[in-house]
Order: sequence, then structure tokens, then C-alpha cells
Amino acid sequence: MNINYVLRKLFHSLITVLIVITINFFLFRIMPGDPFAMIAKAGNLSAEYKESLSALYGFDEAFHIQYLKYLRQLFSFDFGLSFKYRKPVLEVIGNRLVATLLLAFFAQIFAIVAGAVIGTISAAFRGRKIDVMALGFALLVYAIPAFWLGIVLVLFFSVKLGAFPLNGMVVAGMTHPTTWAYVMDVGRHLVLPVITMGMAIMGGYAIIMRGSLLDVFTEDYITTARAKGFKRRDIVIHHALPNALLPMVTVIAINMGFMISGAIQTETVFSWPGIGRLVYEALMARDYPVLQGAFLIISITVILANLIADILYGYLDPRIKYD
Amino acid sequence: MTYRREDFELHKKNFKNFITLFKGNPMGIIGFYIIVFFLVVALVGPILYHYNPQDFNSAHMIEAPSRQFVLGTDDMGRDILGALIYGSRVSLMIGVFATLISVFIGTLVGLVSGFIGGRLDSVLMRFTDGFMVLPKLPLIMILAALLGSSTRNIIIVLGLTSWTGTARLVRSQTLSVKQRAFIERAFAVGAGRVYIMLRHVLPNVFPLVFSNTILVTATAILTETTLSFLGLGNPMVPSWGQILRGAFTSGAVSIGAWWYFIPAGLAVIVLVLGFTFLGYSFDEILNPKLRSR
Amino acid sequence: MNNDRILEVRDLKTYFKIREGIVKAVDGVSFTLEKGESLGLVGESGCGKTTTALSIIKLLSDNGYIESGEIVFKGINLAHMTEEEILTHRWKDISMIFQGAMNSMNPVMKISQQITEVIRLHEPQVTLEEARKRVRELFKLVNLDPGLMDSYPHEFSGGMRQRAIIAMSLALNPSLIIGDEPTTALDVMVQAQIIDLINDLRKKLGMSMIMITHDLSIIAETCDRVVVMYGGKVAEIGPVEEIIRNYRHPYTEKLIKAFPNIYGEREMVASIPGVPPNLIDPPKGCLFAPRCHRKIGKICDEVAPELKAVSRDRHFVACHLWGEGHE
Repeated sequence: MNINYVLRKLFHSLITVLIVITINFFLFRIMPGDPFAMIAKAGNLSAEYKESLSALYGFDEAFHIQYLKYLRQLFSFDFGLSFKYRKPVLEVIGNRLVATLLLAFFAQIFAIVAGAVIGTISAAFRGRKIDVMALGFALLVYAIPAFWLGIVLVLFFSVKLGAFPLNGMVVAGMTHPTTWAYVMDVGRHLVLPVITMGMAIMGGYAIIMRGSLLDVFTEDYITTARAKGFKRRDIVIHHALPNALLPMVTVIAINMGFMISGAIQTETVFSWPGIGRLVYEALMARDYPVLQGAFLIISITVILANLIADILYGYLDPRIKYD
Repeated sequence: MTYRREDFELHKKNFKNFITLFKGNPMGIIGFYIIVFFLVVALVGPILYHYNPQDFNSAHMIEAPSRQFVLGTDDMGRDILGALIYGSRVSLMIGVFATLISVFIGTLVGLVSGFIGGRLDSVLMRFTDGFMVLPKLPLIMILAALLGSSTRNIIIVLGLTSWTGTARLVRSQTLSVKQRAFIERAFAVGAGRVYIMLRHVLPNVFPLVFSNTILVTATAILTETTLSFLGLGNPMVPSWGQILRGAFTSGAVSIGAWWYFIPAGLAVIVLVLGFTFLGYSFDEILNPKLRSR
Repeated sequence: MNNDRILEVRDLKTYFKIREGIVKAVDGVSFTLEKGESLGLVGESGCGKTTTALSIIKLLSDNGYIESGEIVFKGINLAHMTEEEILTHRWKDISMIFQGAMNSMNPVMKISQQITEVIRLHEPQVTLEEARKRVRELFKLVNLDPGLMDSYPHEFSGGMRQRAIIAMSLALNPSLIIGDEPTTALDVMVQAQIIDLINDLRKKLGMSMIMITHDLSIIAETCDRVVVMYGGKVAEIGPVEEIIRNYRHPYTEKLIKAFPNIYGEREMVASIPGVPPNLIDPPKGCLFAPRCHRKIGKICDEVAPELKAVSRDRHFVACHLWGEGHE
């Protein structure tokens, strides 16, 4: 792979990070009225927090000084103190990270597999009834608000059937005799949230997979494969899919932001102790430092995922080498 | 200029062609009727059906559908059917106005970027790409929380955060229009840049923007519902998201009060699906690559 | 019937269904191909030459179908075979040389892989190692360095890619090879090299070929006989030399003069004026009549001309100019 390609992508990512930091900086400063008063409105703050706020924002100084101070703080990983938890923001977020990663990982796998299968079936049977059904299903799934799907799943599977727990990550107050029992407990709690979040992102994947495949079908090398005597199924799987999956790598990365939206909704509905739920709680408590910190960390994660996807793309597509 | 009339004739012919193709697209027709239905409900419904969000009634809390309350009541004893009808106004209004803002910004950025080109283009596109990957919902939540969640603010926030796709699309379309002969001719007769951009490039870019617009509306409606559900809507204005929030926070789900959240959820899904169907079918018709022979 | 006959196409009609109606892309085409012979199909784009060739192995798009006619390949009629039945004949009996400038090779597969996959598809008993050995030999045959066989298509130049595509077409030793514009979009020098290679291989392997092109000069260099097509029908058919010297159809005349670099006087004709006919609802007379500069009257607009022999040398033409009494 070309080192210049990697460096260029790295540079683009850095610019994006800078955009995020700048947005984050201005977000809490361009608000109408005295920002300090506005934030203070959120609750009765002790002197200690007022002090930490002043230190964090440095409202009295000139804009560019504030910005530089802000940058210096970020580079020392100081995101301030949470109003609600009275702990450093980074620590609060760190405690929630694993739960979200666990949920997102399984939801992503579910969505990619289901989306790719539905999109492939749809494209392979283009214009037939099965295509209309698959495409309609993908669009329907896209139109369902994730939180609502979560609620309906809870009503049906937990309230009515009692098949899965209502919410949380483990049974509250339960002590697990073995690690295996713990894993099983988490697994049972994971099923409905994974389906909810997976469905939220699956529709988009299916639609893009279909479009990508239909594009590939018009390529000359597909005619070549037909002329060689391959069966239609083999052509779709061995010749078209590898080419159609390439753009999917990028789409999955770009959709990371969309996945965060799914995580916030899913975790809120299922009281899943992850970052999404934290964002919701911080919002309810108007815990601005946590909101700001979470936004920054989520954004940087998304940017990083995009960078990895770009590099992966360059590795998977032999043509990129000479770009 | 003499070619103006030919241009017009061409547009007219394209439009006729478009209508013929659209009539043969069942998905688009369904979407169209769904949107018309909700428009009628939003415009006429509140005139025919009386509902006051201040009508609290502790005697009828979370009541199942009855003759008095066709779709039951919420946790404050209010009529859910009424809230649904009034809520369609909010959803459509926020969806449409947020889209207008978003499409305006997106078209402006894309047009300028593609038409002027050069360094301005790369700066604008770097910014657009950077903005594109940002997680939108947390950003929107923070903005709505800071600005205050009036209907007007929600519209502005949604508009300000959803223009990137349009900008990318308009830019690529502008680049291809720019290559065509009539643009060169317009330059040759001494037309100004802004004039060419508005008079010649924009009308040619517009059809694709249009199908994109409809899809942006679908997303805006969905996001608005989510914001209300997360407690960032205006509690004084009845909306579908508010109903769903009420159902969630009052524990109606765990007692199986389906009327509290199934109808409102279906309303959101059907309306969003309507816009998606319409937008998708337009895309299929206008984008020759997708069009089947 | 001749035992040396590889292919006989009889009254082939291939149609496409589109929204606006049925396109009669190929409408009653007949020709034969003898063993070791090379036949050119020539005409403007949309004249049905590619559709005719693709019909032979039924490589049509989903909306295309063979309405009627026979395609007899070594005594077997392919025209009404199902997709499944024809699969075993593709590439093994009839292979193709595609245009290398296009994406005819899969961009994410190594070239060696694209050749071994087709060998092992039709000859499953062959091991990968044996297949790769054959690729090495094929590369030598087309004057490519076998050391480069594990490259990706984009790593090859246009000429190298065309050679690799020819190597691929020879992988299973087919009885018939169809060349679909194999030299288009190559620069003149490379074009000449590829034509030399094809002629060389034809001599060495005695292969039978059908060559599709819009360029008569390539036909002149690589083919024994030529079929001139217009509007999905055969306008003129005969030995290449005979056609070029003694063309009878006004359309052939125009085609020859459009390529002034072969025999004959230079004339300033960049292209043939007028547009090809609408094949959904074709006019009832001669399809070329509206563009014809030698129209002889009403008959051209009202009666479709039949193919008639014009000399003992298997030269036929479909034109009223050469009807009874005009010879």
C-alpha cells in the first residue's frame, strides 16, 4: 500500500478532529446571554463546581486565549467534572464504554449480515416480487424509530412472553456463582437491544448493498463471467459480491454516526448502562461537561473508525495502490 | 437569447416523460398518496376534531379505547386520537421547514463548491466531509438543549445539521453540468458567473436535489420524533414523539397499554415510509444508472 | 451437410423487450462458418452485430430472447437450449475475446486466477498446480512474461491486458472464438501487434473465429469472409477481397469510404449521414432507403429486399439495385 495514501487520509482525519474540537468549543460559548449563568441555571452548583467550570471555560479571557487553553486541557485529557456524578468526565465515560462496545459490536454484525443478505437477494432478483418485498422490508425497517421498535419488542417478548428481561445488563442485585453464569445473564439481556439497534442500521445497509450490486452487475467482467459458463449464483457470490462489498466498508464507517443515534435510543429504552444512556441521563440532568466530553469522544471514535475503513479499503482494493 | 425557448420545451418534455415513468412506479404512487393523506389530516383534521392539550382529566388516566375516546387516553387523561391529529401538523411542519433550510445550505455549498472549484472547493468539501461523519444525534441533542427546545429552534437545529448529503450531491451534479456546451456558450456571450449558476446550472441540478429533498424530509421527521421522545421537544405542543415519550415515562408499556404507543408509532412509520417511497422512486426515475430498461 | 462446418446460423431473430415495445435487434440473419475460417461481422453500432454474436452463446441481457431461428454448432442446435444446458458449451466450445480497454477482467482478482477458475470450472479434475502450469504456457503463447501472471489487471498496459484476454480465450482450446472489438481503444502500434498475434495464432492453432468490429480495415486484415449488417439484417455477405473490390450494397460502399485507409480512393466522408432505423417499428421497405444515395424509386420504400447471389463466389446482397434485370 502507498504510504502517501495513508498519510493523506491521516491528515484528513486530523482536520476533521479539529473541526469537532472547534464546534465543541463554540457550542458552549456562542449561546445567547451569559453562558455561565445559563449553565448554572441547570442546578444548584457548589463553589467547587463553579471553580471547575471557570477553569474549564475561562469565560473572562479573550476568545483565542480561551481556545488555546481549551486545546491544552484536551491534550492533557482533562474534560472537566461531571455535575451529576461529581467525578472527572473521562472517568464517567470510561465506566460506560465496555457496555456500549459490546452492544454495538453484536448489533453491527447482525446488521451487516442481515443487510448484505437482504440487499443481495433483492439485487439478484431485481424487478421480481421477491425484490419488491426485500426492498420494501429494508425501507420499512429504515422508517421505524429505533426506540419504538425497542418498546414494541419489550412489550411482546418481555411483558407478554417473559422470554427476555425487561432492561438492564444483568439481573439487578444478583451474584453470579461462575463466570459462565455471568456471561449467560449478560447474553440474555443483550438479545433485544442487539436486535433493536441492529434493525436501526440494517435497512440502510440493505439498500446500499442492493445499489452497489446492481452497479456491479452492469460491469463488463460480469459478462465475461457469464461467457465463461459460470452459474448465475456463482457469479453473484464469487464475482459480483467481492466488488460490491468494497463500497460497503466505507458505508459502514460513515454510518458509525448513525449507529450512535441507534445506541442512544436503544440504551435509553433498555436502560443499558452504556454511553448512549449516559448521554440521555446527562441531557436530563443538563450535565453539560459530560455531554460535551461524550460528544468529543464519540466523534473521535467515529473519525478513527473512518480512518481505519479508508486504510482497509486501500488494502482490499488492489487498484488503490497506484492512486 | 434564442435557446431559452428550446430549453423550456426540453423541460416540458422531460416533465411529461417523468410523469409517465412515475405513473408506472407503484412504490412512488403509494408514497404520494400517504403524504397527501397526512397533509389533509394536518390541514383539515384540527378544524373538524376538537382537542385541547390542556384538557387534563384525572378520572380517565391511561384508559383503553372506548366510545368516548376512540384511541384511549394518555397518563393525564387526554384524548390520544386528538393528539395524533394535532401531532401530524408538527411532524409535517418541522419536517418540511427543516428540509428547506438543509436543502438551501446544501445547494448553496454544493453549487459554489462545484462551480467555482479550485481551493475554495477543496476547503468546502473537506469541511463537508468532516461534518458528514460527525454523530448527528448527540450534536442535535446538545444544540437543542442549549438553545431551548421550541419548535422554531428544533427546525433550525435539524436544518443546520442535515445538509451534507445534499451538498455532495449538488457538487457532483454541478461538475457534470459545467462540462456541457451551453454553459460555455453562456460564458461566450458574456453572462456573469452568478447569473449562469442560477439560470443554467441550478435548473439542471434541481431534479436530483428534489428526490434528495424528499429523503431528507423523511430523516428530519424521524429525528424530530426521536428528539421529542428523548425529552427535547416542546411539551406544550402535542406531537407524535411527545405521545411516545409519555407512554415510555408513564410505564404504559409495562402494563400493556398498546393504544398509547402503537398508533403514534405507526403514524410516524407510515409517514416516513411515504416520504421514503416517494424519494426512492424519484431517485430511480431521475438517476439513469438505477433505471431499468 | 458439410462435416467441416463449425456453425450454421439460420434465420436468427433476437428481440429485446423494453418499455416502449419490442426491439427487433436481429431480424432474420443467416450465415455459415467453416472450420478454420474467420468471419467478420461489420456495421455501425446498433446494427445487431454484437447481438448476433452474443446470441450464439445466449449471452443476452434479461430482457433479450431468441424469437426464432436455428444456431447449429457442430450439429447441435443451441438456439433453444436452456441456460443450464448452454452453460457447459460456454468457453469450453465457444469462448470470447473481450475488449481489454473495458473492465472485462475482474479488478479484484489476479489474472492467473481468472484463467485457472475457468479451466477448473469445465475440467474439475485439473489441480490448481496443473491449471497454473497451463496459464504459464498460455502466457508464453501470447508473448507475455509468465512471471507476470499473478498481477492484477490494472497493473498491465492496454496491450498486455489484451494479450492476457486472448490467452484466457484459448484456455480450453475452444472450437470457436468470438472477438468482440478486440482491438478497439488500443493505440495504432499496439493494435497492429494484436492483429499480428491473432493472425499468428489462427495459423498455428487453426482456430475458427467470428470477429465483431465497426472497422472494416480490421476485417480486411483478419477475416476470410465478411457479413455487412444493417438494422438487424444482412445487407451483404461474401469473401473479404470480393466485397472490398466489388461491393454492391450502397451501405457497404459508404462503410468502405468511411475508412479511406484501405484500398480505393480517399474521399472526405467522416461518417455516414442520417441515423440508423428505429427497430421497434421498422419501415416496411428497405431499412437503408431513407439514407440511401442510390435509391431507385418506390420499390425501395415499399418492398424489403431479399438476399440474392451476385456472383459465383458466394457473394450475396440484399438490394433492389441488383434485382432481376439489373445485373
